[in-house]
Amino acid sequence: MDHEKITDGQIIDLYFARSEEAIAKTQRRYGAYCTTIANSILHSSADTEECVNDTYLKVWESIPPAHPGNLKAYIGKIARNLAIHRYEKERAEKRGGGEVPLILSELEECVPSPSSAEDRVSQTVLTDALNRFLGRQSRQNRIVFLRRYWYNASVAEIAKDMGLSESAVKSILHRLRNRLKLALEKEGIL
Amino acid sequence: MKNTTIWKSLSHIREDYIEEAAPDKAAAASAATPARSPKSVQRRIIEWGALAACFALVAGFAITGIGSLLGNTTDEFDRYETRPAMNYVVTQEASWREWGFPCTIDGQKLVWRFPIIEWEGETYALAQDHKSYIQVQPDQVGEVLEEISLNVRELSDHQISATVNATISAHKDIDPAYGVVLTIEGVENPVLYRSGKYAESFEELVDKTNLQEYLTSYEYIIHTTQNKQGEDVRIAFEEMTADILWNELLMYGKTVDYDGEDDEYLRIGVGHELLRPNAFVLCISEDGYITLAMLKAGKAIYVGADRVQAFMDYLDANHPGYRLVEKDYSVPEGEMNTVTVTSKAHTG
Repeated sequence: MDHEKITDGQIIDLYFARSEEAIAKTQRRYGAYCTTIANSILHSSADTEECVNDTYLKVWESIPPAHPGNLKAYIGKIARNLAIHRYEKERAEKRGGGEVPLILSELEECVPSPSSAEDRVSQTVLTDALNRFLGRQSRQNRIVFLRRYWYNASVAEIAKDMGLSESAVKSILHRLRNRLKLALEKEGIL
Repeated sequence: MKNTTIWKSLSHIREDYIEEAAPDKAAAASAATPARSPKSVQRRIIEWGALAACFALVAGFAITGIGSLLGNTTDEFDRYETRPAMNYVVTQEASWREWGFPCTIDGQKLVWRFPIIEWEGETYALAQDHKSYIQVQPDQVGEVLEEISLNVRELSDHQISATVNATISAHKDIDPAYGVVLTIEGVENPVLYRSGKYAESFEELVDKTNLQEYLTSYEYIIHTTQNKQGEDVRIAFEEMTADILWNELLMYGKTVDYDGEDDEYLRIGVGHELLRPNAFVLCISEDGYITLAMLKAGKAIYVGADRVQAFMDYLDANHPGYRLVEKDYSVPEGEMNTVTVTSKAHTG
């Protein structure tokens, strides 16, 4: 019962106290969230479960010294990164399924060609540019963009969650990709 | 750079953005919007004010837009607020900034303020129905129209009803580098009248039209017109460039006379309709005057001819500075980047 009321700050305190209860609390509070993120990339129950468990472990290892200001997003980032790593490892052996190939093909529009300027831009520079780009968008646009490209949700899911039609979501995404490409070009990143 | 680079880099974006877009949050935010009840009255007023502002965008976008595009500051804006035709009593002000609106054009924000009035216990936001001009470079036209359209669409949960009529024109002797004039005109949507009478409700409107399909069908701003030879010409603003647009104007633009001076302006019209359900434009239409557009939260309100006088009496009694006006818009010869809006009292 107390777990229903426990705050993120209290969970972080448990990590700092090295109490294993921290993981249990994290699982209760953010297990479904992590599962959604991992499964949207991996599309495999077994892989997702392993990924989520790895997430808890990673959180346990990183807090302390890390003291996240936003525990939910912090855990979500870890889950997403671990799922991406796992996805890439899987893809080296076989083609992945689900939304990811589609998402990657959409993001292809934001880069001039797959081979040019290969990863010359540091991740920090790109992330800063993405933050600036996202900051310039309306809240709804930002959510639509991130639901698609961060949470890997399908267009249908986004439309349902946001109360929009699928064509409206597609239209917004199409324009946002164009804008992103333009923004990256203007910043000299592409 | 690979597409996966962007995909992976997104992992490290700001945490508040991540949380904002979390599936439960996104659904909750969306679900909360129609109910509106958790919001404070103030917020509702501002929100519906934003609606009016949105309509005002399509109705009178360029007054503030010109100032921003040409680098002017709030002086332009203030002048607009005090024009005789806009002599309302402003009881509330709201900014589009907090609503992610209006658009950013060349890094400049457009800001619109608008008046709100109380009538018969309800809050209304007023917006004007008028025509305005922006001077833009030809290759900006698509961007401007797209931004206007997209941002209006983004407010779809606020459900606005409006039409953008944009016309691109330029004096035939003017160098393309000087840009073209984009005329934006807001009018009531003809779909409302398709059934031959006002719709009584949104459901009726949907029943009698292909509204829903129409609302969600567009992907690009493409206009089909006819050239001087009567052939169909398609203009896609999605990929518009200065050269293309200028050639379109020279080859297909129709010559018009704006000011009685027999000048030749080349013009291409683009009608781009945007209709939002549930927010109804209230047209006060009698003797041919459609001067105000009003938006009211939640339900359809129409003031028919029999209530126009009551409404105007109310305005006279409570907002003495307000008058119906007949407006005359013109682009002064040789000053295409200047807007002139003159008004005279309606005495009819």
